[in-house]
Amino acid sequence: MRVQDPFQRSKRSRPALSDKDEKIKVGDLDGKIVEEEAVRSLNEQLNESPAFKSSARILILVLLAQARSMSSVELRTLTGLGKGSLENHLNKLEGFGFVGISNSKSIGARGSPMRMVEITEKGLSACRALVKSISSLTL
Amino acid sequence: MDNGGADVSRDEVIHAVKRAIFLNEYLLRRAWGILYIVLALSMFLSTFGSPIIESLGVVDFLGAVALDMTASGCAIIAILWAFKRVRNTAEITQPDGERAWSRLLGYRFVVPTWILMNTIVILTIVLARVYVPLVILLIHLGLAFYLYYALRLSFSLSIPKEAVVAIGSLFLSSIACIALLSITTSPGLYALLSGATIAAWIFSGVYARTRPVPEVEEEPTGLE
Repeated sequence: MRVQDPFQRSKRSRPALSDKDEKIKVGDLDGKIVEEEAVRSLNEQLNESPAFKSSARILILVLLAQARSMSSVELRTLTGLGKGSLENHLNKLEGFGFVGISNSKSIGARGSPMRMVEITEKGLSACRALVKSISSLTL
Repeated sequence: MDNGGADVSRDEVIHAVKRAIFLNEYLLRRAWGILYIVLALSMFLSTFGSPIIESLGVVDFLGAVALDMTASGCAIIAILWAFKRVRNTAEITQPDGERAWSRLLGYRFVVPTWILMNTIVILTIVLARVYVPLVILLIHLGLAFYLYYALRLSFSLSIPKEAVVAIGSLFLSSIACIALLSITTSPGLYALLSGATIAAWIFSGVYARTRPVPEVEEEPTGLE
């Protein structure tokens, strides 16, 4: 339903804005500026970093940012990605300098050394900036 | 809205980030599960361990204090380990301005507090032994509030059921025991309440550790 402006057809003039109304208007304006800034920042990050051009890589990176390090098996279980797909994304993230991959000393279920993925400081700061932009918008 | 030519839309990015935060809450839930189990064992040792050993006459009073400190020390290690994960998560998900949690959940706060609590308990044992149960119960009450604070930081949506059971049981049993202190000093009721709390914590720990990976609805164009 369309809400009509109560003053649209009235001959009465609009009342002057009170201090409270003025504050609300200024608050709305601030919110809009913050949102526009967040959208601009998010778009910049998505454009500048090739790592963010895949939602799977974003998922992996934000997971790693929160846990700092994980085994590739854990990542596979959580993301639901196949082994090849995960390896592909991890290699790309490693290429961008966002993660480091190493073989753990502990042995996995199949007797082979576990591959540990650790987020780098570069990955962490990129991730922080991304989540900050998004939280300004939605979270 | 235009996302400036990126290969994924802004909505997909937001969805991926939200999904990562959601999945991490599952990992935190499992980490808290270990904390519940270790704290339950620590509570068992400090509540029932010392009286059993003292009654057997195997160790003296100092030995019993050492046992208590070892039990609470193990609990502190578990707390620090779990809180590290909470801090790592909060660092990403919490706004920049609110960093008070970082100090409160760090070892610089936890370890001195643990030393202070043990000092208070030992001094109470030496100077006013009759108040020892009250002091310990007040520490348990403080622990319940502290853990609740950390849980609120860990879980942005809602605190899991098992955490409510664990914290609720510790809070209620501490309040009930403090109230009982003015009525009776018979150990039976206290043992019953402590036993129920320990059982609730073990149940919470096992429940948290055995949760399956949460199902997330399939994204239309999300994951490659």
